[in-house]
Amino acid sequence: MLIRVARSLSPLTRHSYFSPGAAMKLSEVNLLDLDLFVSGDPHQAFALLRREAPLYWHERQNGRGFWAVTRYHDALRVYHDPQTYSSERGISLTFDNVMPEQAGSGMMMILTDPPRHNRIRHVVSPRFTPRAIAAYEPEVRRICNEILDAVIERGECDFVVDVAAKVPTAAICEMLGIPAQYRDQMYSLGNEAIGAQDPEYNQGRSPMETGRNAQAEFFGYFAKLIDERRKHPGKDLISAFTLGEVEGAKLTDLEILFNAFLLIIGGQETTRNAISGGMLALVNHPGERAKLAGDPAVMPTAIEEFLRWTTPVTHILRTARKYSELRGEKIREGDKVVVWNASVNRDEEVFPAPDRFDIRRSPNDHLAFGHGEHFCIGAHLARLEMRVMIEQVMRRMPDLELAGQPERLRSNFVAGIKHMPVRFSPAATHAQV
Amino acid sequence: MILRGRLELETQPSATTAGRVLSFGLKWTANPERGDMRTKIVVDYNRCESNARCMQVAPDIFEVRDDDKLYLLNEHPPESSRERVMKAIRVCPKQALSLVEDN
Repeated sequence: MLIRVARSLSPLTRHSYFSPGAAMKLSEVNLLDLDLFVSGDPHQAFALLRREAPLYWHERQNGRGFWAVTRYHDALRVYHDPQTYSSERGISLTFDNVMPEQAGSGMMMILTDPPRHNRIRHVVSPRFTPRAIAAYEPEVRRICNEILDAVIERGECDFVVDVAAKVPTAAICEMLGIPAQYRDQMYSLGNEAIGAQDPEYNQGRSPMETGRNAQAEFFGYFAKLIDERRKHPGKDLISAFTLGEVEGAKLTDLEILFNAFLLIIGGQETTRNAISGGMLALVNHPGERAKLAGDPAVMPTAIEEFLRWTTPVTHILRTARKYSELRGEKIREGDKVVVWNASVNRDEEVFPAPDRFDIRRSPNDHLAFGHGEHFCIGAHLARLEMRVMIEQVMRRMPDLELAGQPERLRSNFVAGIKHMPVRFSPAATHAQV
Repeated sequence: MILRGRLELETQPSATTAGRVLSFGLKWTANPERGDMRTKIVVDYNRCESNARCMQVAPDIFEVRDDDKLYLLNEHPPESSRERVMKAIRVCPKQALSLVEDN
């Protein structure tokens, strides 16, 4: 039985439309105010920017400002021109203070420009094609079953920590050849590496220190794995990295470390938030939920709407390598250009009724995975995990409802939900797949 | 509209000169269907990752086979397929497709 959730006035449930009466002014927009993304209404700010200043010079107190790109076609112009808009000086406002070399610039593929970027990526990209990922389905199904079995008899759980987070962590650990007993550690370290601006994950230390420590711990662990795999290569991604060659040379240990780090981070947070965010959207839109329950064949289309709606990576940063013009504005060499995917995915010029959550939305050419050179390598894996998990949740917990307010991650980079208390009718374990 | 092709003068065999002069024909052979595009699809295999969005849009031109490689079924797409080819170029997540002038 589906129990309707009372629509609360919290910004978390109504973050898709303007606050009644309190019209924001351009001068009030502050995308660096992380609390805006926790308890405020960031979409109000984005809609304002799209309407009044689609390419907006956003000042920053500690450091130079940045250009805020909020419209779809401008986003594509930036993404499609890596020669001008480089990734090598960082891809996030969050880590803007980290020295590029320390962050893995030129080594980690997300921080590398073509042509070297493609060559590194090609070492592992065949493992991520739709066909290669489809082979993982039985394994992902088994993982999802186990995850739900662990909570299904309780009648309540934290949907993020107990369900959504466990899927991508398990899947990427499998692909990297990390044994199951380390999954919890990979989850915690991942939170510290990327979510350290949230007090829950930095335990009183500075975000920078927390992040650095987490990265060091990851590297320490991966270094051991690399050694092992060099001696006894297997079918995992770490082995693939050790065997791969870029421009006739093997990847160095440091290059492998940075890229393994990228995959363990990229493979966890983002998909977790797409699953939680998707489920939350279904709970908050009972009409759409009923449509999906009544027509499971619409799931692939619904998945794209979950991605558009949640946009797990809120922004992506580039640095202008040379002078360019965008929307008639002069972008100087060295200027930071920040594409706000969350806004782009609500661009009225591209998405009719963008603030409507519509599981049948088609076409749905959202940019949640980016576009061009750095298009998310894990897109098909993410879609697989989302489809299998949400399918199983809908089938095994059909009356799942919120048992408390979801808590958002304090970040303008990761559209994260940290906790989502839910309740559901307890059921039997080992349900048939 | 420009018609591209080859125009040949053909004379029929005849015993007499008069006969040869009087019996001739014009044979027109149009170029194979290229439309006005005179363009060729190029795949940048440094970028292509077999996402197969192109195949979704134009399966008669793009095919990702069991070896997980993209095959171009028709390098010189006919004019009638222009819209779909342009859409495939646009939607390719890696922007691996382009059209070039083909002489």
